[in-house]
Amino acid sequence: MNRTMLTYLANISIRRKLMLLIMLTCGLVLMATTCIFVIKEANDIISTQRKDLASLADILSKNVASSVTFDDPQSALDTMSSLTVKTDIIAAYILRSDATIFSRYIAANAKTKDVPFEQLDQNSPPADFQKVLKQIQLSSHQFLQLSERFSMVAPIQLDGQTIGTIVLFADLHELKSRLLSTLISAILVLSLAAAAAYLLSVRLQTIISLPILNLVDTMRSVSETKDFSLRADTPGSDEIGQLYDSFNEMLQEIEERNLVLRQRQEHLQELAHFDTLTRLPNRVLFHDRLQQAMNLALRSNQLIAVIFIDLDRFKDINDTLGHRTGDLLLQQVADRMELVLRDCDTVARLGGDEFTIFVQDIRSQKNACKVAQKLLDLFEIPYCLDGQQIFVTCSIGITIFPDDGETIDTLLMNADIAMYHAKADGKNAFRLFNPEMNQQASERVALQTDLRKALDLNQLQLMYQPKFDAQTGVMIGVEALIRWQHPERGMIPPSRFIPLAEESGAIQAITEWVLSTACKQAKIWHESVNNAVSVAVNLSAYSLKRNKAPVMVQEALEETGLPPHLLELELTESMLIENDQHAEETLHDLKKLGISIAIDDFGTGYSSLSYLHRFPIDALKIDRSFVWNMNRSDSDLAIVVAIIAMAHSLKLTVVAEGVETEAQLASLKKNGCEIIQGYLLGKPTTAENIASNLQKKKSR
Amino acid sequence: MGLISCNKILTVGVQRFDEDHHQLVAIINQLHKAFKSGEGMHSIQLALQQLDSYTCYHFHAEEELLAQHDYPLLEEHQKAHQDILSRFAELQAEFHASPAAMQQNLMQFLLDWLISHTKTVDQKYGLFLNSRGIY
Repeated sequence: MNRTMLTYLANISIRRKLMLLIMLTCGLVLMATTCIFVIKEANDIISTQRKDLASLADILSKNVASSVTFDDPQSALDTMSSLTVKTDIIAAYILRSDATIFSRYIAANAKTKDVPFEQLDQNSPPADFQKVLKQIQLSSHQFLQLSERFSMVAPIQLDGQTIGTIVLFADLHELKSRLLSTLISAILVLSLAAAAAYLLSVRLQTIISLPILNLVDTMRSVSETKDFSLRADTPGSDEIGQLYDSFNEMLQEIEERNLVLRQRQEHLQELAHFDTLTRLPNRVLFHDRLQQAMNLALRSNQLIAVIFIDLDRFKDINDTLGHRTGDLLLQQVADRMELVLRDCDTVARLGGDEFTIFVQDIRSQKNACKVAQKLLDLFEIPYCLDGQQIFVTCSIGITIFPDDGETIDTLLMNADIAMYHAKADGKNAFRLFNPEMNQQASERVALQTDLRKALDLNQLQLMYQPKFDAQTGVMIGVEALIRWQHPERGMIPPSRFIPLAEESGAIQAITEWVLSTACKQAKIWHESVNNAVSVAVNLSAYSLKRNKAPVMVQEALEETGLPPHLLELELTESMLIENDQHAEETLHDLKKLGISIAIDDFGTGYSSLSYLHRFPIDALKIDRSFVWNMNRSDSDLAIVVAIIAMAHSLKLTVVAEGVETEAQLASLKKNGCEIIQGYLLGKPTTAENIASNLQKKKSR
Repeated sequence: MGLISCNKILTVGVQRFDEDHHQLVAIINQLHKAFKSGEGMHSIQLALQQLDSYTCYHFHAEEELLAQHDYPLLEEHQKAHQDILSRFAELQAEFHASPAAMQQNLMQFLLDWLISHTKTVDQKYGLFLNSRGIY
């Protein structure tokens, strides 16, 4: 019961609570005062009545004393007749000393039935009268008489002796009506006061409840609108005011925290969608945008070109200039690419030095090519990094949506394949994807995998092409050429698998094997034939770049015990040019080992005399293309002559490659070429054949 | 389509300067086209002249308007203009000395100008002028 009461109280509104409080207090106070007032009044009225009757009885007793003494009931009656004035007197009895009635007065309209003396008649014994008298005396001493009558008993005395008793009976009607009127007026005042208190309390409770309700409203609207910039106006500096202040402070905190969270959210979004270095969209954002563009293109029957860009030799730039410069370069590349694209196109950085672009709304492959050409043009312009002028080129692969693929992954993969072709074809170019490339790509991957195992499975062989002295016709050396006998695909030429090997790094192991095998072979020939037959091995760009050549050669020489002057290393002219910084040092290291060095495919690069002079080389090998044309084209003949002259001026030996006709041989001999290599005099052949040739020569 | 596309990357938000910048892009595209078609030498001379008058007019206009509105980064901006002008002067001298190498140096200079000045430094005054009611 108490529980529910408390719960109920707790749940009624604050207005009601406050009013309840005020009204309760007022009510109790009013009730108390009213009760006190009413009781006091009642008391007054009753005691006045009593006093009144007492004095009346007193006066009467004195007045009728003589009547009683002289036994004159009539005079007593006359005296009592004055009682008619007092309307509340019902009856008055004068009793003798034995309590019998001497005289009586009965008021006019009184009901005498229930007056005790009337129940006795004249002849009742005095004892009865005494009994009644005693009863009346007892009851008259009670203070609060709730009966219909009030009785008063007083002795009649003469000279100190009681000669009789006077009994008065009074009506209580008047008393009662007076009491009633007092009560009614009290209740009236009480009600009025209560009403006034109510009205006042309605007003007064707003002092507390209004600010609280205001605050509740404000808080509610903050919750609903999620607007944490709202504040409540403090009504004052009391506790409610402090409550307001606390709330406002809390809202401030929330607002500030929301701001920070929002900023962090934005930052995270950025990180999630943009590349931190170049601030270009990253793979994720690129995917999103491209997907949208593809959906749009499908609907409007448009083409999209997806362009894959890979910077050429970026790794070398990073290695030589440092990663910081590399990063700077990437940033500048990104900035420039943004300039040449339209607003509706997107360029993204996928990672490393790979970028990708999609170009919307193109009408044909040709337009896509125009964009690619713009990019190539752009890359012709050098970059200025750390005060150095750097040229960078790129290889570009292009696919068209939806022709070359219907999903983003397919498009990117095919663009990658096309880009790879651009790279393989010499870099600084773009290639459009065509479906054959796919075939070639998977073939390439298969070959690369096989190549790794080829060495272990003894699928690689060395063939040797003899080189002859131009004047004497004596075989003075061989060039080691590698062949791959693939179990399924047959004989795979080095032009096919060497680039793959370079790419995967397998070339290192292969070159080591070649060196080892060739040196062993040369050692065998040296011991068996005692002719100075040198063996020439081709060095890869990979090994040159990574400074592995001197160590490799040294190991091969030590392992096989071949005299160093019988080993020759061939490097292509372009390799030298591309890696000139490394090359100089490496060549000097190699020369220290005692081997000789030749420049292969000479004439196809663009080295100058002074350039060549830096390197410690022993021979130049004229590229076969010049030999092939020397008798057909004057300019090619002139080149051959010039190369020979130049080589001689630098004290270098000249080797002519690809000599196939007698005429060429004659011409070369005439012009002073020292060594001849070509199908005319000897095809690449096995070690055994070389050995037997040497035997033949020896026996001659 | 020219090498460089006038896209919103280069927009600063002030119409007359955006038009000026478009003009710069046009000079660059024209120059590039000339290089591609082999008329390099003649075009360089013309382009240098155009750039000369462009820098005089445009930089001055920018600085004046910015000074008028008490642009707080005015000094920095003027210094940037100065740097461009001095590099430009160097290039002009180089042209007279060895015209052959000019082609690439000039293009490099122009691209850098677009990227490090128009795209970044000029952008800063865009918002400032917008807040002063200039569009």
